[in-house]
Amino acid sequence: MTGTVVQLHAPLGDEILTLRAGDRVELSGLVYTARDEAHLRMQEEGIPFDPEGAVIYHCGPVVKDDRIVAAGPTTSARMNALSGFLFDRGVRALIGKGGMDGTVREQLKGRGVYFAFTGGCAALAASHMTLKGVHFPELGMAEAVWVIELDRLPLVVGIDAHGNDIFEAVRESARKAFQR
Amino acid sequence: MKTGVLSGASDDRRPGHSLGGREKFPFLVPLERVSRKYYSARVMYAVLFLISRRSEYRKASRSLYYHKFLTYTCMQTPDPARIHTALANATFRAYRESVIRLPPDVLRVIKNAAASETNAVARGEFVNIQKNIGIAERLGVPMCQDTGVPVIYLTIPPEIPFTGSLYDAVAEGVRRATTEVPLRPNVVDPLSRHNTSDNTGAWMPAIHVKPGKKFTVTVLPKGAGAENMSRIAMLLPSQKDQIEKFVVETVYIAGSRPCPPLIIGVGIGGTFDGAAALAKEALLEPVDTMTEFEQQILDGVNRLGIGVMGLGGDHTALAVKVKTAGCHTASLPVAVNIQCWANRHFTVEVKP
Repeated sequence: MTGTVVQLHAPLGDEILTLRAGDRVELSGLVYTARDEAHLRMQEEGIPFDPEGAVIYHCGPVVKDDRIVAAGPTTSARMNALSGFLFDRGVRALIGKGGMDGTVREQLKGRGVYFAFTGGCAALAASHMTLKGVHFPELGMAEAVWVIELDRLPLVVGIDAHGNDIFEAVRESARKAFQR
Repeated sequence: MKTGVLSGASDDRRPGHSLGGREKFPFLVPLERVSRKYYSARVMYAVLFLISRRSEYRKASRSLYYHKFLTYTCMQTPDPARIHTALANATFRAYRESVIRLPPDVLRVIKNAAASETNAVARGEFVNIQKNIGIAERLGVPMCQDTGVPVIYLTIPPEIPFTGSLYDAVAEGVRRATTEVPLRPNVVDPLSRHNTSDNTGAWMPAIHVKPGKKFTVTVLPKGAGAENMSRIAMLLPSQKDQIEKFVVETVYIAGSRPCPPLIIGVGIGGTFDGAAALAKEALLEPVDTMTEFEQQILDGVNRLGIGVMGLGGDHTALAVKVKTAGCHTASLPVAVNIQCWANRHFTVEVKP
């Protein structure tokens, strides 16, 4: 947890295995938004983009006139049971808020990371984004898979590829503090 | 509730609606525009004036009656159509402002917390939050993609008639804000989940009305992430000491989900439903001052160490605000309304 910020460019490779929970990262390159509906659709019909090294963003943006207006993260825990197949096809990272459960932590081991982006910071996120395309537009604005090019979006590593999970550590210490 | 009161819609004065002639000759005000109360006062002073004319000794009274008569003649109920338009416009403006910029007291507590935070990860999150606030304001876009459901507070002065038209006007302002700001269409039927696509529905917007000196509309857009973590308890009168624990437990269960650092509204007393309404109203109170009791609850919450976004740190919450109401001697209702760091609300004065 030093002051330096790691620069990353998607699609990602083995460079993410050196990241540690708590590291600050600036991510550039293509990401794909996906919420509950899109995950179910991709499980049934396959992934509509090249999943190798891809980054999934848990987000339902506000889009107007081919422009991203607001695109903050949604609660990742809703996708706890829906994410395993993504890592099996080569997805390397998730972005969201609030962290994920032990299942995802295990699935990420040796393969990928979970990035946290600050909840509610939709205008900041949009200022680092260019809209590139859309899959499954029939799912509606919030649930469609939007293809977005990031320019140095500031993130923090929430769960690394070695089983370290800031959210779990904080939950555990909060549990102890509450029982005291 | 003071979040920069703007003057109400001045752009809604329709052409051809000039009152010039009537202002010069108040007798010309049509009867249907004079409220019944003022009309009877007008008649009473007219009669007194006419009677007093006959006595030369009562010049002072006569002058008083004449002026009262004129005053009540000029006092008129604003045109219902103008009230409607002005309230719709004011609601639109309050909604737009509320999703774009935070009240100054909320900005202050965020700034102070960011400056005193010791956790490195949390400091980074505070940087993002403050950058986000700046960008939203500069570009005039919503600070969060969850633009909430509309919770509306109206204050109504005596000269504004309280009618169903006020509700229609607020709904019209909400619909306009949804397309023009734009807002995310969030309102659905609770069972069919059908989205009405304009942020209105049965009993939505949620409108709370109170008498007041000024005609104002306050919009408090409430996002689901924080609202979903709210709880209510019907404690026993002997469990006064459990209030703090119930609030801390609510925040503990919520964890990272409501986008901490939180603003926590607590309603104590009243009835089951009244306590919940109080808890939400508490969010409108200035968050940069707290009573000893509020500070004590806040310290308890912050000892959890959940921190910004559940990543740990000193600030799980920024403020606790408590509102109380009289309650039954056998009950102690306590409601906790959770709000994220973006404690959005904005008040506009309506000028028909």
